[in-house]
Amino acid sequence: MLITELGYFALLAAFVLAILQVVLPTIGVMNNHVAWQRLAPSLAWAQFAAMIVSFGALMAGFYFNDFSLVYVTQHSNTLLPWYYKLSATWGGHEGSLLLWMTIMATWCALVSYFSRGLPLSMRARVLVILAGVQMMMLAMLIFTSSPFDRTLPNLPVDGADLNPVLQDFGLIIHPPMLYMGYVGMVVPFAFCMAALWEGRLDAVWTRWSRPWALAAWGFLTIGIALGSWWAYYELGWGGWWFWDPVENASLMPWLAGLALLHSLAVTEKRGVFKAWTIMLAIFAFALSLLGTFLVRSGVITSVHSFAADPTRGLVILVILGIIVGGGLLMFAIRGWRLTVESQYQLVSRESFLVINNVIILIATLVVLLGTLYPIIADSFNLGQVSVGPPYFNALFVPLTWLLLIAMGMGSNIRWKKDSRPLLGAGMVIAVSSLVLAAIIAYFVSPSDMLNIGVTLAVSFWVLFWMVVDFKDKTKNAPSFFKGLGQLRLSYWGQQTAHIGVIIAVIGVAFTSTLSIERDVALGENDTVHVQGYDFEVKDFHEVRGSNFDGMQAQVEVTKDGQKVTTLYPEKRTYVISMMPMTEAAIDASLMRDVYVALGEPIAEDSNKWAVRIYVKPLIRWIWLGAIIMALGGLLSMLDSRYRIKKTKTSAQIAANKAGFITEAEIGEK
Amino acid sequence: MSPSDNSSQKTPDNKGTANNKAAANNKPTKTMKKSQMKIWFLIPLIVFAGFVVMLYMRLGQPTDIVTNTALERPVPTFELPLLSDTSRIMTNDNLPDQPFLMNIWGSWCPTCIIEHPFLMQLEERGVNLVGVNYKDDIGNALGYLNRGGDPFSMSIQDLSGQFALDLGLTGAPETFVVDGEGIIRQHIVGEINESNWQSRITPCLMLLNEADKNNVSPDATQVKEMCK
Amino acid sequence: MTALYLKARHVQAMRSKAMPAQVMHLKNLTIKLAGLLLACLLSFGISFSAHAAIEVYDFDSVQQEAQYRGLIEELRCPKCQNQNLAGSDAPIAQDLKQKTYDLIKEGRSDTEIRAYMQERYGDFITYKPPVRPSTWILWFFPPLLLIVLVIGWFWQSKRSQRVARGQSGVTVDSVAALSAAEKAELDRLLSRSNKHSNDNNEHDITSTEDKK
Repeated sequence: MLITELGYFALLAAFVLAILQVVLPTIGVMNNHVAWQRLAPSLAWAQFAAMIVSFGALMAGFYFNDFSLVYVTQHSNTLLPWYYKLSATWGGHEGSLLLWMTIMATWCALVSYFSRGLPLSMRARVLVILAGVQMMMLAMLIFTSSPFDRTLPNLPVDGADLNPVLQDFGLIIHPPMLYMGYVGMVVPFAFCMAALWEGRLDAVWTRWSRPWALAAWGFLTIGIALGSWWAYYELGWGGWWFWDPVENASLMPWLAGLALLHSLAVTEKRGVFKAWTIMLAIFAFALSLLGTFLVRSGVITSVHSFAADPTRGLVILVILGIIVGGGLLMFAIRGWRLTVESQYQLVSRESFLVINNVIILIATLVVLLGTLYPIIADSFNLGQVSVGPPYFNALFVPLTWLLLIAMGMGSNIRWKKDSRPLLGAGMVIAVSSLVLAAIIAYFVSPSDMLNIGVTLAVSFWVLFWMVVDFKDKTKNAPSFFKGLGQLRLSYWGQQTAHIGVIIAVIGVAFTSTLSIERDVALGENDTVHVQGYDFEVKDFHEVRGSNFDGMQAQVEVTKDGQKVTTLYPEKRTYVISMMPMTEAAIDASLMRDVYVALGEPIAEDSNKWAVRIYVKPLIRWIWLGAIIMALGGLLSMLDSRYRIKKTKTSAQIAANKAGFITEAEIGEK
Repeated sequence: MSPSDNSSQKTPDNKGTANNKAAANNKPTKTMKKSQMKIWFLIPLIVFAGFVVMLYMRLGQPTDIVTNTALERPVPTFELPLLSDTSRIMTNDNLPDQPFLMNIWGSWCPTCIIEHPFLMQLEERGVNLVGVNYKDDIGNALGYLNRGGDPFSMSIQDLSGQFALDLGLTGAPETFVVDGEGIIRQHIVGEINESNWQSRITPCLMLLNEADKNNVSPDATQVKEMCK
Repeated sequence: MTALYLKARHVQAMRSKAMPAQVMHLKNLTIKLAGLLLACLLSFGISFSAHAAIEVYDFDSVQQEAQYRGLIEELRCPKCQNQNLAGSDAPIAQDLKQKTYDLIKEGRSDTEIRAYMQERYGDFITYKPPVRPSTWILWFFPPLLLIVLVIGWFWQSKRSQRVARGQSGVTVDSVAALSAAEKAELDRLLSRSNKHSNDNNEHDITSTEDKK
């Protein structure tokens, strides 16, 4: 098919453009040649166009069943529904890398567009660094993992079909969202590097890079939440987070990005912690690349990992080494100049943000250490150990509690010095939170009071402080609501995101401790009672899909005689790959999920099937909380102070009056 | 990062951080602090380099977990029926007194079928093989031996899989090399073929046979060396 | 049976040596790719065995059932790519689940069952790494580091504040030189500007660039 060949050429073109985008503006910057610096945005747009063409071509290859491409043959089939054919584009290693690069080109184009108000030399530098990353990754894509490899001279008549686990809505959106986040971390990195390169000692670039960090982090939040949700309804054992190395690989940049956001807040506001912020920006992107490495190199054991290929792993490791090593080197050479004195009291927002960063850092360390420990232990012959949920939960949960305690007070404290009588207010809030939480926890579950109680106490602590702060911020306004209206978007973003955290944490606590699971053997007209609900199997019947056969059960769910819903769990066998799959049936609601999954027929009595039933309280709160967090990020990002207005200096105005256009204005186009 | 101090920075990655403990009077110690600071700023790079090296060394290494709990311990106690005559119960006393190979197999296991001809060859070469029929239907098992030949001096029947569990088995086929005193010295996961027979099993068996001939226990360091 | 066939294919692909691919029949290619797909877990998504086998067991009490659930989530499937027993349908996982059930019915405690499994399969069978000198860094390094960092920062800030207050020439004490009326005026001015800065605390100090 010719269009896929076009895609390959577009990819090569993008590679050449990336090289040009690195070389030419660099020369322009070094020789102060404005015209060459101005090439950077144009090249970025051209690269974006080339990548879109390339990606579109691969998608077309899937849609039109071009089995002359090895990649299409491996991941598609003529019987596959069309929407899965399209999403199969990112169902394997090569295609997902192409998605990575396409998203990267998109970010670059967006940076190019939104940075028009920046000084040209800075803008050019940022784009050069972005292009540098692109150049290396494109080289890897083209030379080691090209999705455009041909099967010719053979031409298979059909493909191997997409892995049935991936034939799901989750695959359509989870990877793109996740990659938007992963890749987006390159932008704050690029801004920091550009600032160091230019030798800037001020903190203005932090304001430029903060919305990008917010955007990347927001996407990553949604991507991770989607992955968790997808695993929950797809895997059939009710789990939504397993601390699997690949999951951790996405959590670590998220945590580092979170620390970065908060550190950027301080640097933007007070001009301090600059070196630390740069360190975090490097760290966040490094973890992003590390994640890519871990997933594709075969170094860790995970069900999520792509086919292990040490050659690819080596290439990614080399790229990781160059990019992060280069960043850290630049940091070592120039970063120390950024140190600045700052004065702040112990009771101030700066202090709490330091605590925030320290806790998040330790949390990231826990995840990193736990993920890599089996490798470390094996390398140093300390024996073979597994590190899983018991370890991570034991350390991560208390850290979360500590973070929330700090968050409650810290997000509502003043900068530099807060001399309000906080101790009294703090005591009142603490006591009332504990009492309220204890009461609720007792009624909800007397046997699990600790976990639920502490989580609720910490949540109330945060909420009460938030109320105090709203009142404080609106006390000078004519009315409470008018006062609210005067508050900045970034403030709303902050409070929204923090509320999101609380909701998610409560969801986690409740669902972890109070979920009920029962595995029973049910035949037609059998009933079972679980946690107040009655489940009756009405019948079993066969189902057929375009590429699968299976058995479906009709399960009637009632509560106290009232009908709640009818669920249709399925057990499918996909005809091409012969893979069995469970399609769980879930009745979702805000307060609880009712989940029914079909297993196998019972060996002793094939009229009965093994059925798994869950009742999971508040599980939706987890993902709802994540969405609200991302929303908070969005609100903050839209704050007007981030819109770079092009204002003219008095010199420029004078020059314009005299009929001239200054060089800076030419550059700023 | 501490308040009212020349900004010290935390150096993260996975090896910890440091706080700049420079004096509060910055003027007289400015030059000292400059180089001190530079060193702190280099630490992340050094840590990162070490990290990359560690990952590099791991590339290409197998990540499968191999259970070796059975090694250097006696064969687990069992009381299992003889496959060819299930009325007879065999115990550890029925195991050979000389070094032998214990092979876990099943007629349902395709790799066992692949391995089978080689086991027949081993029997012809005089190697003592004991079979453990793992979670198999007796009819199928006996049929399997009838068709392909029986390389085993005896086969015991582990219907429930308990014996295999005690051995730390994760699938079939797996083979254990046992010395003259009933201690397991080597564990092969997967099929035996000419290649691992030559490279792994033969050195071990030779050592064990030598020790058994001299009526001594094999030397521990030599076992480590030969029975890898 | 199909599950068995899959398993067999999987096992065969994993344990056979790679065959040189010289002549590929089209059908062969398709089947081979299907086998490779499974064997190499070319799934970006989740697991090869995309469904957890559901075993139906009878328990004597709710506590027993909870104990069972807890254990099968903590114990690892020795043959899988990082899955616990609960989430795996591999034959060995099913055997181990059965064994766990049997031991629970016998009345064994969590510790005993864990020890039983560890004796046969080694430390990696449980997802909770044992607390040993070799794992001290795993369990204790993060909390210790947290304490060290927080205390270090706290101590540093206290020290710097003390020094700053002692060293700085112009401190708040020097307002003693003002007269009472001047002091009142100063206090009034200070309190008003404090109020201003608190109200406008979203307003940026480093905003000079915007005013270009």
